[in-house]
Amino acid sequence: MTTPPTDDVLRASLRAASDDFGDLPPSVIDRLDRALAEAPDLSAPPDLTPPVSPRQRAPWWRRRAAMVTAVLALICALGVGGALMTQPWQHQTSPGDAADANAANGRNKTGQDKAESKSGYTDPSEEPQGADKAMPHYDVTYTGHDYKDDTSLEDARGLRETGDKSQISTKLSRLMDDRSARDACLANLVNAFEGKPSAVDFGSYGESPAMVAVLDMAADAGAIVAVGPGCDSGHLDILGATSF
Amino acid sequence: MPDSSGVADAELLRRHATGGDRDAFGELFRRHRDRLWAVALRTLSDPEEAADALQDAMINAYRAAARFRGDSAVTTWLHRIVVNACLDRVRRRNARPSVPMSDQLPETAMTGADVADRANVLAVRQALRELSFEHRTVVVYIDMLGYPVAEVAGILGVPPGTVKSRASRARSQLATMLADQGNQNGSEDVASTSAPRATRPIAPDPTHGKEERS
Repeated sequence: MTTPPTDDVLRASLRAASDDFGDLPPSVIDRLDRALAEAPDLSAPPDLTPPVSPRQRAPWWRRRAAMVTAVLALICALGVGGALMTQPWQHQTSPGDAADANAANGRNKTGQDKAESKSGYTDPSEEPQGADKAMPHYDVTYTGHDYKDDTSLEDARGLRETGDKSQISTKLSRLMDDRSARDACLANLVNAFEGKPSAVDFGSYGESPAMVAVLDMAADAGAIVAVGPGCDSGHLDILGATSF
Repeated sequence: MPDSSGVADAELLRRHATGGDRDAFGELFRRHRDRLWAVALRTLSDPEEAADALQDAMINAYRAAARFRGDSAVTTWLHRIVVNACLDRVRRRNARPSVPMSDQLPETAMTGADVADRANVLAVRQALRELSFEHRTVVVYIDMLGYPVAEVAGILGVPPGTVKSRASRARSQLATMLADQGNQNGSEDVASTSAPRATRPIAPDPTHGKEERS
């Protein structure tokens, strides 16, 4: 029977094993230098929007015409809006109008009433749905951003743009539309990484459809994890992860 | 490029965070990358994984510079980022079992006299990989790289007592594993051999924790 080594022998063995590891290889130094040279300027915000090619300034007559058109459109919109507001409530019976009517009257929204807009879109499923909801509130965005690697996952923190749900891969539909499926996925992530979810963004990771979850653990610390569409089905389907 | 060799770490980081001075950050990282590499390589036991983790850590530090609050030394902050990057790698490896870890570093030519030491080293490495990440990290810092307990506590963000207890438990587990390996091998007693012959003196990073704290 072999006896365990004494503490001194163990430490000496650990030092010897440590010596056996190599120094920083030149190839890794080159790689680090390249990565640093290619890193974006610190002052530049993360680019989440498609590049826009510079446009030449339009001639004066076109700018003036555009301004006149805009003023006329505004007057028309005000006129139509005023006319609609003076209509009796009973006339607003079409499904499209019902959402506005419900909102105006402070009613609870139904599934058919969920009107979405590209700007300021808030998914009603993100609102608290009863006292028994285990998962705390978290923000959901649909930027469609392609997170290229683990370090770019940092972009998922503090997103302001809500994005357009329709541009997201349908492979993520279940995670987008089924709150319980998404919460199950997040619960799995919390089990694996700890913390609590503060934000979820839908897009892609390395061009694969992905949901990116920000898990807050302590003040200014946590993890950001990209998962695939199968996240809710028992395994995590982790595509990438980073700490902050 | 201005000479920044004599500039304190905190000042280099400030120049980068407030003025976008990429060269200042480059100089800062160059100063510490050898030690950071040593931590990543010993923690992950895989040069490829270590290189990935070090690169991730460098970019994370580059981007997070503005969030450095100065409540610890810059080196402590850098080491913490590297440890986190290594932990990320381990989590990904565990969550997505795929290619086995390439744990064999490039082999160097061994003389006959080196074989026993080599066996010891491989046995220790194998046992080290069996430890949990938090125990392994403590052993790497304290027993392999010679960092003081207080510094390790700062890096890991835990009390010194926790570091000591983790180190003690880790050594105990290592000792048991090495004894078991010795029994299984039935060859030379790896566990109870005397201390290996040639060891380079391992000194903590002389600049570690010595820089001006901001």
